Amino acid sequence: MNRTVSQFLSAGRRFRFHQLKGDFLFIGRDPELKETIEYCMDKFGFSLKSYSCLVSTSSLSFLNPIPKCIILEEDHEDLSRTERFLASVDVRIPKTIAILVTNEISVAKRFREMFPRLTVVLKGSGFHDLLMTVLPKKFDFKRE
Amino acid sequence: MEEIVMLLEKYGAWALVVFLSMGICRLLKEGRAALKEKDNLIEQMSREQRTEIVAVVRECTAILTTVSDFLDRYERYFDQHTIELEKKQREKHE
Repeated sequence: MNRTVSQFLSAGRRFRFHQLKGDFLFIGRDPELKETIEYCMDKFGFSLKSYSCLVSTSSLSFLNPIPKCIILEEDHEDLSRTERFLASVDVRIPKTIAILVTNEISVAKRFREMFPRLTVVLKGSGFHDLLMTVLPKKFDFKRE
Repeated sequence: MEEIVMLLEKYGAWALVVFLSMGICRLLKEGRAALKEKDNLIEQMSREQRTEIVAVVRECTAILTTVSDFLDRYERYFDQHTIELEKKQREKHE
């Protein structure tokens, strides 16, 4: 991807992260991943809602406020469902930040090319670090 | 090489025509392959550019929606603040 475009997209994501009000939404079945996310959210004082299966984006758009960030675990059984959900989030609620967690490099690459605004994380490698860099610094004091 | 010379001696111009045609065919084939490769490359680049343009437009929409939400929140806060101030002033006068 073009470097300038990439920089613009990440600056936009940062801006949205700081300005948006709303909860974090975790969609996935992995208990360890859920626990990590819950731990991080608790550390930084954010509220988290969890679902074990995909929900429709139209129902998400009725939430007030709309979720700030969706952390989605890859659907191992049907990747097309994940793809449809992410496409729908991209179109219907573009201001929401979407993070996809997967354990396959090929899937990560494919989704990154398909959705340039999407943040893709490989499971078990740097997810905690990513959360630490994504979460705003003003919440640092809550760590202590 | 000797075989080619023998063929040329035996069949003369016809052999030459055959060799030339084979050469031209080969060149054409290579040319077509190169053109196809170029077309594929252009198509891939335009597809990537299209995805990037769509992503940038969506990001702009997202930023504008976020700003609009912020302004709405600010406006509501401002209205609430004004009402409270007016209330306080009225109470003071009374």
